[in-house]
Amino acid sequence: MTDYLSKSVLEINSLLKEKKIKPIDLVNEAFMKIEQNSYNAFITLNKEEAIKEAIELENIEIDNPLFGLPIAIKDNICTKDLKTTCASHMLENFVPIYDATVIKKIKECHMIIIGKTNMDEFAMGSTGETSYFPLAKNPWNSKKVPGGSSSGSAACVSARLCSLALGSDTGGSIRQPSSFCGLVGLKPTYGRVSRYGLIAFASSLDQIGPITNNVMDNALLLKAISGSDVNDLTSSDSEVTHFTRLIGEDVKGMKIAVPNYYMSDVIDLEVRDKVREVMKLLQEKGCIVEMIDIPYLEYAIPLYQTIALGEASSNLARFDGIKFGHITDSYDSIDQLYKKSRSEGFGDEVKRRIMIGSYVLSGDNANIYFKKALKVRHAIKDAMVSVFDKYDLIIGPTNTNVAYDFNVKSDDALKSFYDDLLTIPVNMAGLPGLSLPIGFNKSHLPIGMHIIGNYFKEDVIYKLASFVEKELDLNMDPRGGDLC
Amino acid sequence: MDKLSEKQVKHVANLARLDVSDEKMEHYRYQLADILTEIDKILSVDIKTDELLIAPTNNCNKYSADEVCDMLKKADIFKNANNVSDDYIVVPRVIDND
Repeated sequence: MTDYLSKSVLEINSLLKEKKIKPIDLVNEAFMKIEQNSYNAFITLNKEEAIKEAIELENIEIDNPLFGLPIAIKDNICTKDLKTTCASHMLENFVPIYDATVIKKIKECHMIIIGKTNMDEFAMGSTGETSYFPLAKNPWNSKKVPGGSSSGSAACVSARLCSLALGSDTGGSIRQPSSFCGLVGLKPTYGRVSRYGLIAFASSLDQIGPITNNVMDNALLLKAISGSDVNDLTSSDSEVTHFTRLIGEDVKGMKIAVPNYYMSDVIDLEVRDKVREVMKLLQEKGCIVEMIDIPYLEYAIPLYQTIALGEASSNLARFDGIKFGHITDSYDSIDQLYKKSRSEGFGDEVKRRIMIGSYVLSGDNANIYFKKALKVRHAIKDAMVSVFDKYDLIIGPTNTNVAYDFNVKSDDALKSFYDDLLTIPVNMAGLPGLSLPIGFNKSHLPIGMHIIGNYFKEDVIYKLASFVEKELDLNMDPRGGDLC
Repeated sequence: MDKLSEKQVKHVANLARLDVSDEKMEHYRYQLADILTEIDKILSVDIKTDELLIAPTNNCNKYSADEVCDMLKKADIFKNANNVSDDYIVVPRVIDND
């Protein structure tokens, strides 16, 4: 079997331009690999359409680096005429009648959608285990969770079933699985990418972003999906720069902050040690690396529970069993129809979260909890943004630990929140953040480093990430190079 | 908070338009209490500002041009509806017989 999909975007692009391969070769390879072992990364495959598109592309001139490349899409991003389930029984048979803006952009680049990826139900979870469908597995060790909520997007890129995927990130759902699966995953600045057609979880936190095998691919895919959109008034008019422009530049003189909170003993020792090794490397290469305190970070979890779940309860109120989605078989009244359809359609994690969200928004609680949370959110944003008065970037671990076994603490309602301890503050402030693989623990499971930038400074994040990537020169292929 | 009462769980479930089965009731009594205890930490944050951050964007509101344009077609929208009759989506009656 061929293995073009483990190559970089630019390498594949050269092969296509030199006519050594055609888009159909890439599509065939993807589906052959998926048939061999899909790691349950996909909920719906788009095989027939993908093959048709690949053949049609043979008569079209290659006009961009992503031309003809297969891509996997998280199943909460609407794709016209292609089932979009949010990994929920509620939307098991839902077929969107329009494309999300990112999908339009992907199609304009002539990329080929090969399928919709598994995820935590409605993006609520940090392991992939709340999916209604068979659970996505971690290609590094199939007994371990791939992370979540973008579990399938991470699993398929890590297993080289596809070289590119889109995920979404509300509290860490791109960065966390990228860290667990040894990938580069970016949550862009809030507003950098249109959310039109992304099935909303928490609208003031959600962002779509790229998951890839390397930094350059990530920057190229971000360029393709960025930009303002009349259908999303929170999308930004900020210039969409060439995010690759600083890749390869020397990092000497860069000022980097490491929050003490991110290196506390809550974080696994091996993870902290690996981050310390990178800090040392950067100092040796002329960066100024300093430990700092950022106030309010310790309130990230209750802040998230109030704001994200409050917004979720409102967003998920639309699932009533009438206009679309699961409807119960028998009911006597409209109220019973709502309650039975929703109770049958949603899984436990979703139900728990919308109950809490409804509670914090109800009556006086809106003032007591939600308003106070918005004040704390303002304070945490100010505290994080002020770091960039003195520093170019913030770094630390992406996660508190590496990938762990399935079913660990599955009855613990707080666990999925605590997994996102270090990623949530970035969503609260709306800043861009990236997870970069920096090595392995003793069990050979990947460890991710978090790089956080100022608003719309994704190019600066990529500068440091590409430097560290080059210096470490890790083999992040879980197949151990057997198929390379 | 150790656990919520059954009445409290039923109250939040009703707010969310959900039923709670007897089998799940005990789970929810503990799990919801765990989360609400965590959320209570927000109340103790000592904070000086009165400013709220609703969303991290400085964008101003914009209005669409008042022009006739193609919108979604009714036939397309009905494709995902569960019960359709001619030009209508059917729902159970919401008024009493008397």
